[in-house]
Amino acid sequence: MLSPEIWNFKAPDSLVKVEKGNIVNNNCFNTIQKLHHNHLVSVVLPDTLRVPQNICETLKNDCEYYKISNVGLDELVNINFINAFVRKGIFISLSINERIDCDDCMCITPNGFLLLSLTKETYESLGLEGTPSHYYNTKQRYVVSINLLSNHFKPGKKNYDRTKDRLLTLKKMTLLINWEPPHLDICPSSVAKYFDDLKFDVQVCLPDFQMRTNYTIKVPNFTMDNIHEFVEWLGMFSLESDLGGGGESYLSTYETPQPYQEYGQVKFLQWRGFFSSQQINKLLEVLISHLKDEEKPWISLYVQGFSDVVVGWDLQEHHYYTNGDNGYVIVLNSEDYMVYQHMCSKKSYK
Amino acid sequence: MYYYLDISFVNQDITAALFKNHIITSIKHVFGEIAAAIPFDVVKYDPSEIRAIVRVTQDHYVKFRGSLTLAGYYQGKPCAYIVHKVSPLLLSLLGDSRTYVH
Repeated sequence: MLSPEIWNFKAPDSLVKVEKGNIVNNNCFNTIQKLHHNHLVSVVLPDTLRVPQNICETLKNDCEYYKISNVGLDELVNINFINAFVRKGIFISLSINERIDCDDCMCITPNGFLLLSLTKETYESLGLEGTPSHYYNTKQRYVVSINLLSNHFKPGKKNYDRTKDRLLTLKKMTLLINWEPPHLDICPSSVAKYFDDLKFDVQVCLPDFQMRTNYTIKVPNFTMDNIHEFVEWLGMFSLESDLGGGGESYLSTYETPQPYQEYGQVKFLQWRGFFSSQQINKLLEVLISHLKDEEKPWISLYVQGFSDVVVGWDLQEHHYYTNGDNGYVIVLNSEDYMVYQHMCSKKSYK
Repeated sequence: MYYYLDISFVNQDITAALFKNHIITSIKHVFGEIAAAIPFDVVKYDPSEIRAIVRVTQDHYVKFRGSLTLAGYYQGKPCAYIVHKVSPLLLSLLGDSRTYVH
């Protein structure tokens, strides 16, 4: 017989945190504030014949974001840009088409940090100070952090001039940007105009919205005892998988968790794009007010972050192992909420 | 606890049952008779793309994925499995920010 110790292959860890509480305390909003670069949002509404227009439009209206191609990163430390956008309102950005496990990535966080996750070769040729990545014991990757809002970070200062000069040597990237102005009378497209005036290729992107209805669906009751099964069911329903019709099947042994109730119509809504945590906040507020207006068994909200962003939860460093997922599920009923927080593995490479 | 894999098969059009059967054969080929009894579920199958979402327990995930990598032939012809995304949270297979075109 083969040694069981040698044949005990463990799957990569993933971290799950479950939190519950009363909806009156508004603590469920805290989780949303911890994840800043959001890609995918989905909502499941059981027992719903008509979806209120304001739910569909919360992440469609005024949720345009911009894609700017071939930007040199020195443009992002331009003092005019920092004073006009990073210092005012909420500005977030990240590089796309770059993979965090093999390429150079960058992001800008809402608190005004420009973060670069660089391969060893790029880091050594760049010449800016950084720290070795937490995930690579062999120092194969480095993180460079630049505080754009620091009082000393302005033209004429040695640090500023050197940073700008060195960022000029980095390769150009394609960025997504999302800016929420400080006042309602300022148009969010000002940031696009700024880059357009500099002759960059700026493209406006609209979130992709999909809605579907499934009929006669067995919906499990929401209780804290079966939370993993409940979240798995949300996945099965969202992906339109086989929800188990009872009886033995060769393909799948999955069955809807008990106790369940059958509803005539269950709605599924999904948005994809680039959303800030403030935009998700607004959606949750709309969902909570919808729950107060109409009697519903529960409502669920799932949010997924970007796989290749430099920082994930709480601005901690992010990486890509078997996947680069950071996400959370919030399930609400008229009184309570449950937050199922899914964090990427913290395991470091050997 | 489970792991969920979004995989597609590169060879020829096959039915869901044959797809599952081929994975079992691959596990048996690499890890032997006892490992071939690993329980797993094909929770969704799209015959047009030969793409499936498969659920396997965490304890068996590494062996399962190893078998997919080493699966070489289907009915004598070379074949391969493409793993699109893997996650312990099924909802995360809803979309991949890496492949999304903005």
